[in-house]
Amino acid sequence: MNQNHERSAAYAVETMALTKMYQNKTAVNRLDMRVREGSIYGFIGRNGAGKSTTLKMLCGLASPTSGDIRLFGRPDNDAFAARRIGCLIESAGLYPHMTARQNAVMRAKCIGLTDYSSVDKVLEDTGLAAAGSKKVKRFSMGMKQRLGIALALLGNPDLLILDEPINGLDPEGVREIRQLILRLNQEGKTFIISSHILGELSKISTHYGIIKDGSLVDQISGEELAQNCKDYFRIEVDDAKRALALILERAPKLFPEVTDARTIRLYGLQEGAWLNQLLIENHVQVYSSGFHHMDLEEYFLARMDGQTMGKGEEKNA
Amino acid sequence: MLNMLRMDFYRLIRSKSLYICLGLLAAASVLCYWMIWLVVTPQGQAAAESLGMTAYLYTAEDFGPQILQQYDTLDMLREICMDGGAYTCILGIFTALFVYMDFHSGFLKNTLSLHRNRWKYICSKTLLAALVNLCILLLLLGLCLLLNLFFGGMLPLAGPGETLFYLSWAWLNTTAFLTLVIFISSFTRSSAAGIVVTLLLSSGLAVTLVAQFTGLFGANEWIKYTLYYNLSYGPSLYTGPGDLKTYAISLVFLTVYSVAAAVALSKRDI
Repeated sequence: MNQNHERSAAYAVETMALTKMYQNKTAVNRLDMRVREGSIYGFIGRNGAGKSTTLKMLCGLASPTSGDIRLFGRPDNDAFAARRIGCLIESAGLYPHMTARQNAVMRAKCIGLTDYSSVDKVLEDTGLAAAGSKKVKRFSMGMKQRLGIALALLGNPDLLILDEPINGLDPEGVREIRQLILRLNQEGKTFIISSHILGELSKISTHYGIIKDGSLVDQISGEELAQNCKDYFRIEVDDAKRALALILERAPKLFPEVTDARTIRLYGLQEGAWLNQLLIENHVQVYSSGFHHMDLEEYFLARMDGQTMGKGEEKNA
Repeated sequence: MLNMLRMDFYRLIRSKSLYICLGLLAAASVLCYWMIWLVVTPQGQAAAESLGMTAYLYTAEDFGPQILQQYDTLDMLREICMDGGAYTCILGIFTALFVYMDFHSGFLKNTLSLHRNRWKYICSKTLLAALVNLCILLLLLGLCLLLNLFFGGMLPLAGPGETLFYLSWAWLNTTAFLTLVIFISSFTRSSAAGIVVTLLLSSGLAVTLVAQFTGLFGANEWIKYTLYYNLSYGPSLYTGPGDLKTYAISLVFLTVYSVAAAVALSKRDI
């Protein structure tokens, strides 16, 4: 039992066969999510894939139909575990007729804080120190998002669950929030971030979870992703089948992937000039060729299409 | 739960609608006292005559002495806003808007992610309603006494025991009504539903209509067990154990509505 507890304690969040059904529709299907303490977990999925529902269940805003959630090794209904979480789910919940500071004080009172210096600190951290006395109804969407993040930071939580935190932020705001997240992560805070802006997510995430139709199709670390997203040589020819036979005859150690009748991806190739020459000499027409690097977006789209990645390995954490 | 209560009080005192409610109740009290003063006092009658309120003078002749004989400050409080349902109507609308804003603004997500037991949320709202209700009732009583003093002490003062008895059950009754509004607002998450239900029930319209219908079958005794009937026709003076019935009715409704609100909130996702 102690071993189990220790194993669970290494995870900030652990879900076991987490399922959420709305009447006959399964929104989240037997989800086994594991978020290590101190990590930044990028949670990716298409619209309606079940991201927000999952995050709501983690935050106690939706009840699971079945399955378990453990937060820092404790059941999710544990009051101490709940106190260690700050969240921003969908839009920032704010009273429009109150000022930014008053909204933050409300949240501070809700937590049970009596010293409101932390309110000023989080407003400063999120770049809202000057707008503290401004009513929220006069805020832009980006400012509301910042305030939502500020509210989530109150009480110094160990885990921050942020659903689309950079929505509506200007480029400078995105950079500031990114730096804030990285700084807080260095201080030991764990993040679960859901975002459609994959380029931004890939700059900060240490782990990724990809959800499709309510099921977690992939859960990998940043290192594993880098491994799976190795550089590849992409070549477009008139006859991929013949070209592939020629290439494998000359270089049998390469890992090829035929994406359509005219396109081949080659993993493990260092230099491409000889390949072009080979194909031209053998009367295979080459339309284009060059080295590419698969980014998170390509990886995500490939996983959504059900492709296996890299060298054909299925990598599940 | 107490943290949620602290939070709600912070919002409450910054809420314009609270001051609108207090303003409406104060205005109604001033108006009623002024009108009674016009009817029952010679100075008032002279003022009414100078203002050209001739119809008022007939009323004054007919009812002036009667009012003085039958009314004291507690009866006046009841007549101003309690018996007709104006008090529950005003406070009910305020409660519906207050609870609705939690859902509408989304701030509830901040609250319930921290306090995951939803029964605590309902308990804090009920407690808030009870405390605010008590404060407003006491303020209203204080205002009535002040107005009576201001208008020359025209009405005799009600005894402290009598006042305490009435205020205690009226507080319980109106708190039960506000809990019903909290239940409707939590269940429907709509301000319109909360306001419509408040208007229909606090005015007695719903109860009267249903009683008219059931009366056709000779079954309208149930009306005596409604909050509206009890608030309107409940005793001002304790005369015997039968008068305690109103406490029991209020307590039952308070419990039922609180449980219903907590169940409604627990069953649905935020």
